[in-house]
Amino acid sequence: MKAGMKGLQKLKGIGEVLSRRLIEAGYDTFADVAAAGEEGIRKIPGINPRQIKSIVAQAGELAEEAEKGRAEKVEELKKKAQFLKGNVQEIAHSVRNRFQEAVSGKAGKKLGKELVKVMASLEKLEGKLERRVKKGGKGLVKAEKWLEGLGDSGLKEIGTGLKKARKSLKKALGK
Amino acid sequence: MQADGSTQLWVAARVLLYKRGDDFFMRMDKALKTSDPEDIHDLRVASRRLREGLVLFAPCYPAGNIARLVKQIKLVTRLLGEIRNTDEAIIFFSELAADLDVACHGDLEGVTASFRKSRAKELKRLKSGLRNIASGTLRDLYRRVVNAPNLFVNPLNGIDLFMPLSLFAKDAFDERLAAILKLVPVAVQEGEADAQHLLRISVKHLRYRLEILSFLIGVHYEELHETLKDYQDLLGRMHDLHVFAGIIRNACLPFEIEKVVLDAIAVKGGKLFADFSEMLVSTPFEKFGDKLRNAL
Repeated sequence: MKAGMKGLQKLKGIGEVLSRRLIEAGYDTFADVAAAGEEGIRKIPGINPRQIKSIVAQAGELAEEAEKGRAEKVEELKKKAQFLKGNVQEIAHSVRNRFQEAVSGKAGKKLGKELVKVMASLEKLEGKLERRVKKGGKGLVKAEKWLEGLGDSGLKEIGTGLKKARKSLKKALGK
Repeated sequence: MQADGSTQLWVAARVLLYKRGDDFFMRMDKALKTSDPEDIHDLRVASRRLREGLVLFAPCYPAGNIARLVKQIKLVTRLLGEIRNTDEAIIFFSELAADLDVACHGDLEGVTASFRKSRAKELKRLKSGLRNIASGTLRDLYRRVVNAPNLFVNPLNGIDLFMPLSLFAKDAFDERLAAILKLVPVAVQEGEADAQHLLRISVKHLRYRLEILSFLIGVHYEELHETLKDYQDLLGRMHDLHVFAGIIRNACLPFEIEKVVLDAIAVKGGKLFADFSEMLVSTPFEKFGDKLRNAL
């Protein structure tokens, strides 16, 4: 509640008391306040009637900004997911070129499975980024860290790195 | 995830086959729920398209796994085939009766009625067959196979699983086009119903391949797709007439009625063949192939 109150206090004319009352009335975000309109906000006890119009207008602007910021963030994360998928493809290619003989048997099958699993996790997360901006972002950063430099690593390190990257993505997916 | 021309083949195969599989299983659920002729037809088409996808991307997977899947999905196509043919026959003979003399109506109504009767039985069999498949392991098997590409084993045909999809697509289209071009010289002769039927199947394969890889074609996709659709439609109707003529020959109708009906079918067939011949001149497959290659 406190975080929500602090957020609403960015509106000129809303202090600690009014932000608490707004939240208690069910207006937790700028978007809620904007959607409530002047009629809805007028019902909040203690609100200055002369500031109602300005509060609703400010809330509308801030809600729009927040939405825009979120959309930009989602786009950025989607690009990162795309980049990581490219990384996984490069790792696979490099394994094929550098360890052709070593991966022709069981070891290759196992590594292939892991590569596919990482790809699948990235695809899943990419589809859920709009609803999981924060967790998704964290997962992608961690996965990026694990995948970094794997293209030049040994087979064992590649296997471990892929597994760790997948675990980070799994966590971000809430599994 | 959306694949593009630069996506490595093994990644694109999985993504595109997943898309086709989702479409197929969604349509199977719908057809089971409604039993509507259109839903049944859509499922049949989805099963064919899925099979073409599996054949297209077969080099990415262990051969046995793909063969097993194709076999299972072929069962669905076959299961749906009979009822679809029955529906087509009911529509065709009902419309034909309206075009012909009243004297033929009674006999044609008899033919239609026998199809209506068998439809009910076929529907029952279809439902139980689909339920068996839907409740079985096909979905799991599909996911397992599609998620296990043969990443580090060199396929026998030498296809590189790490090549970009656009490069692979070029050869994949050429392969299907070559099959078509081989059949055209025979199919262009009016009496060669078998060759025309084979050509129809080949066109269908190419059309499904085009649909699966549509995002690689760009602005010319609609035009190319429409051409194949027109060919397939014409050849399909020609084949249907051939089948319907056979049904009439086996229906034990009075001689005069049989003759009237077969003559009417022959007239329709003649018109369709003329359209087909005309299309081969106006839109030859060689020209189609050039356009497709340039669009890639």
